[in-house]
This record gives sequence, C-alpha cells and structure tokens, in this order.
Amino acid sequence: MKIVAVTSCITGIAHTYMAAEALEQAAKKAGYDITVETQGSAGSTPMKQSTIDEADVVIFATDLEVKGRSRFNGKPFLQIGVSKALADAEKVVDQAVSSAKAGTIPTVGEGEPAPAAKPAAAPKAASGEKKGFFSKLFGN
Amino acid sequence: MSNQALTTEDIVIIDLVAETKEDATRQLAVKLTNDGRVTDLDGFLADVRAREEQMATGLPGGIGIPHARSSHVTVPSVAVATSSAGVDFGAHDGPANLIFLIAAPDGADDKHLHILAALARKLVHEDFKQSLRDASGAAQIAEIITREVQA
Repeated sequence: MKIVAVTSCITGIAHTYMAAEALEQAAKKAGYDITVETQGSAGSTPMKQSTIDEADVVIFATDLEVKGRSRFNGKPFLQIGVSKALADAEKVVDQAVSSAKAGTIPTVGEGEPAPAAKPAAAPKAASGEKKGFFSKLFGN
Repeated sequence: MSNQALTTEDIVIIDLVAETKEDATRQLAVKLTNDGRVTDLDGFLADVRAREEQMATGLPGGIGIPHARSSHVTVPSVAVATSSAGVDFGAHDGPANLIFLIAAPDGADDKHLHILAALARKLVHEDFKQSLRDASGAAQIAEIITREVQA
C-alpha cells in the first residue's frame, strides 16, 4: 500500500512539519510506504509525479488550499485538517487505507471545477511563492 | 547574528508558573526581548495572539507551541519553558508542561526555516520530549535542542 500526503498550516512553521512527521511514523509503523509533501514556509519541493501515480491513496492534511492539487486527479483521497493528522495519525492512516480499499472515498478532481476555471486562483498564481512552486514543479 | 543558536539557556524557563497561556507566552517573549531576538515585545505578542486565536496551539501529550512569523523577530528562536503545574494551551487532554514559543522573522531565509521545520518534526518524537522533561536545567535543554536540531 502506497500513500502520498500533503500537509499545510496557517503559519507554515510548525504544524505542517509535525503532521508530516506524525504521518510518516504512523505509516511506517503500519508497514506502508508514504511520501509527504510539506507545503510550509521553508519552501515546498513537489514530490515526483511518478510517486503520485503509484500511490493508492492521498491524504490531504491541509489547512490551506493544496498547491498543485490537480497533480493528484483521479486518486482516492481523504481531506482532513492538519491538527487531526497530528493528534490521530495512526487512525488517519488506517482510515485512508481502509476506505481506499473499500472504494468509499471520493477521488481528487471528481465533480470539481478545473483549476483554470476558478477566478480566485488568478491573483494567487501571481505571488512569488506560487510562482516558485510551479517553477520547481515544471522544472524551469 | 545569523548563526545564532535557536535556543540558548538565556531563553529557557525552568518550572514556569503562569495562570494563562497569554501569561506563559509573555514570560517567554520577555526572555526573547531581553536577549535581543525580539525588538518589540507587544508587537510580537500581538502576532502570536493573532495566530493563537485562529486555533489553539495546545497538542496532546502536554505540549504548547505558541508561534508566529513576525517582523519584530530578528533571529529564528525557540524559547522553552517547563512547567510542573502546567498551563492550559487548549489541548483536549490537559495542560501543557512543555511550552515552545517559536519565533520566526518575517523574511527568514530557507535555511532558518528548515531549522525550525526540523525542530517541529522533533516535537512529534516522544523520546525527544521526554529528554527535555528529564533535563537537569536550562543549559541542558538548550544543548539538547541544538544537538538534535542543528546537528
């Protein structure tokens, strides 16, 4: 079972990283592979698309909008707040894995408007952070 | 200045006594101010309070992590307090007996933020927290954090 996760929090200096560590520990303990992308203030290095493609389930433990969310399109996902991942990491991992197996959770992109169709996305895309993120993402 | 340690014994409080999380945070922030790490005590406290109001920073297992990125911070810093009486930081399972006031400068560079991120990750590890609870004093707490996070 392969899990990918994204963590983010309001300030981007504490919970993002604590939740990532907690999810990694919980997944390891349960014998699953996990890759976590921390979308915090220390810069965000996007995980490889191949890692996402191989994943069985996605955990979004995010208090902010997931950057590059469409990278995960088609993957079953569990959306929770960052503090839940921190407080209940083992339960969160269990829940994500069991509901992905049972097919009881939605997939990313299902019934959602395409990112480009969202007017609110435009001003954010102009910010330095976002630009840096997508530059890293697309390697230019 | 840029290579200043995240925590030194001057910004650690052993057996802090505080009625409220605001009081505990202020006592730690005063340490940061006296150490030249925070330039405006009230301005910094306002930034921490703004963050705290969005969601309490108490965590299960007796931890409180008030924190902010603030223009009143000159160097990434973590002030630490132990408290045998405990201070309520809003965690559902009881008061915090280890409190970390995490202060990041507004324009902190990646290197600094990576150090803070490393500390945050450490806070998930029970053995790390226990080593801080078992520490003999402020100097040892500062030493543990420096060793574990900046190694």
